[in-house]
Amino acid sequence: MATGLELRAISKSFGVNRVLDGVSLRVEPGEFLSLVGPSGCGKSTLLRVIAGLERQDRGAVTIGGVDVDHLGPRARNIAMVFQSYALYPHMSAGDNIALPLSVSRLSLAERLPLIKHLSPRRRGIVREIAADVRAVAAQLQIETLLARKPGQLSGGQRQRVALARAMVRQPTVFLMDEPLSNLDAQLRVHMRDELADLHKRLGATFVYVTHDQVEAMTMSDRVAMLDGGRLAQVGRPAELYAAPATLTVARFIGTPTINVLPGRIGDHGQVMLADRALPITTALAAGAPVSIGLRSEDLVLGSNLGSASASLLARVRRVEHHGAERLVFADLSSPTTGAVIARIPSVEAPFAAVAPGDLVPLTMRFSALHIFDTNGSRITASVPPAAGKPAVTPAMAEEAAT
Amino acid sequence: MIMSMADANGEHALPEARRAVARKLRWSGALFVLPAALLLAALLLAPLLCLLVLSFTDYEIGAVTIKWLGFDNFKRAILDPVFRRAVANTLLYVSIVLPGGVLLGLLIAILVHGRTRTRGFYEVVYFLPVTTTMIAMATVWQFVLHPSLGPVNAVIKVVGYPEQAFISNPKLLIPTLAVIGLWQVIGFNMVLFLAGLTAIPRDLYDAAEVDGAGGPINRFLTVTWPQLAPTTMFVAVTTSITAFKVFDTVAALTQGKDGSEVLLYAIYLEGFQYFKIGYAAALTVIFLLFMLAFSLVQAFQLDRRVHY
Repeated sequence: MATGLELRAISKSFGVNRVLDGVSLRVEPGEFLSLVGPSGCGKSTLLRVIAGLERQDRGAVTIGGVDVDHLGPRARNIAMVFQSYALYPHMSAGDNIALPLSVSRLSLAERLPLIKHLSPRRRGIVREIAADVRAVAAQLQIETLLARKPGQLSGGQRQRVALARAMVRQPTVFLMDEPLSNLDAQLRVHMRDELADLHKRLGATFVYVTHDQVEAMTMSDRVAMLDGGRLAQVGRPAELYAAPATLTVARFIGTPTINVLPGRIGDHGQVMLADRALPITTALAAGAPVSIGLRSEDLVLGSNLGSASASLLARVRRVEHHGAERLVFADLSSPTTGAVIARIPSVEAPFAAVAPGDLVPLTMRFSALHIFDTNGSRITASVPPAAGKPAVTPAMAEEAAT
Repeated sequence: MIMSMADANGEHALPEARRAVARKLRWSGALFVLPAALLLAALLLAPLLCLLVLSFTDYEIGAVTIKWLGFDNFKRAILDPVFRRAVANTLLYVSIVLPGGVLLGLLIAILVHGRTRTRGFYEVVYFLPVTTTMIAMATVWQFVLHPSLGPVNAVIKVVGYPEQAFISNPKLLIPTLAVIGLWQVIGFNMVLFLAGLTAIPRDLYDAAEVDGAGGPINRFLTVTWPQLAPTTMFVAVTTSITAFKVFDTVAALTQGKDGSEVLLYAIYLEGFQYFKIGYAAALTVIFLLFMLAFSLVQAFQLDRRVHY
């Protein structure tokens, strides 16, 4: 039975450096929650607080409704997978996996060299432990590796051994600290799939720390993004992508990075890009500077110069081919300046020949614009119904839709 | 590598040309090795060979004739009561300094490692004996251990025991020298162990804690001790070599009196006091054999378990 956990106003400082600042978070039983954020945002510290490896200065941690602040890591019945795997290098893979069981089922004397043979009950317990280890190893398909030392295993195999060591005690909460970041790209994609699968099979609660937003977006039920020790946003991956609560979230989630253009509020509340009014209004006072966020797929390559009021003119700097799509890196020249990235499907015939140095028109989808104030907070913006479609010619809009 | 690629292309597949290149490579390789090989031979191997040859002769400094004795020197050494006592004393000394130096060094390193602000202070204090010259410190030890003037005996008498002649009582002599040897070697071992402790990844301790092996004894057995195995091996070898070479305390405190001869001091007496170079060389060969045997046992016995 999976248990949830709850963090209430967790704060933690190292010296004068405040790493966590009043983080409150509920993780539902059986949920896969990712903690993401740039390095130094406090996500690993938060995980260590949950594990009991670090004590918070203020706030409370409950696991399964039970206050665990006074408990050590072992008593919290959590398992942890470390970025370095933290396998004991002198023990075989099997002994590594068995260790949590040996420690809990055998007394100290029963684990000491020579003396251990004096215990009559030891042999039976060791046999039980071996059976448990084999069962877990079978789940992860590492039965044949149990006799090997960690030094003789590949990165992916070590990863599995570390997972098996975490699973063997059948904990209800798994804490993972960037477990995939030491693997090569291909294996990482594969393990992502396997981890998600494992989560489903075990039905346990996963709290997963990563700096890689792709991992967070692909595996989690919910994503919690930390920024400077505070929770910036918690929500389903699609929510974080479609409605980022802050400019930092918008910039962190999604590849390539969201385009951000400087704007301000016009006299009638509409958002201005340079001297051009966009058909979007906000409640901000006139003259207030804003940041306009626009995902690369919402920047449509349009050839119809001048016909759409919101089209921008840009000089192509570089084109990256990604197979099914191309990323066009361009410098805006009108009506405003700045570097932007547009994403176009490779099959989009009219623009197949876009090359560096070309001057191309780009058109924004108004409905997809994200407006942020000077603090980086998201501002609700309303788009008049008529302007909801990309401000391009009907022909262009059709083309983009297909 | 380049050659084989060229072969694969079938361009320069001429076997003579290939052999010529290989020959040239061999010669230039040998030429590069030559200076180092010469130095090695002149500085390390030749003296050893000289020693070995001398050990079979009756050579004395200034002697005009030299006679080949075969194994006579060795036979004499084995029957010599003084030399046998020196061997026994040295082994006793090593048997105290080696385990004591390793275990105490480790214990102190673990304690010092746990300090944060005072760590530097303790490191310096424990390392001080390593930097002192034993000849100078022997004077201090002589005073400290003096039967009537020294503070150690003053304390013993206050507690109610008779005063002890640490440096002249044959029973206490070697243990006393061993304690002084420990005093000097522990700081060095501590620094080595500290380096080993610092290199242990913190993740392993975290993992041990999550796995339920977070108590001090479990943590030591699961993480610290196995992780320190290579360091321990190195410390054990260096400590035993240092212990086998004990000389300065004997020279300064007892001059080999009262049955306090040790291997190196016996060699010193034969070679530099009695000028019996041949005999001294034979003793040195025996000494080297001891060291060799000891190092081999340690290397082969421990090496298998130490590396993973």
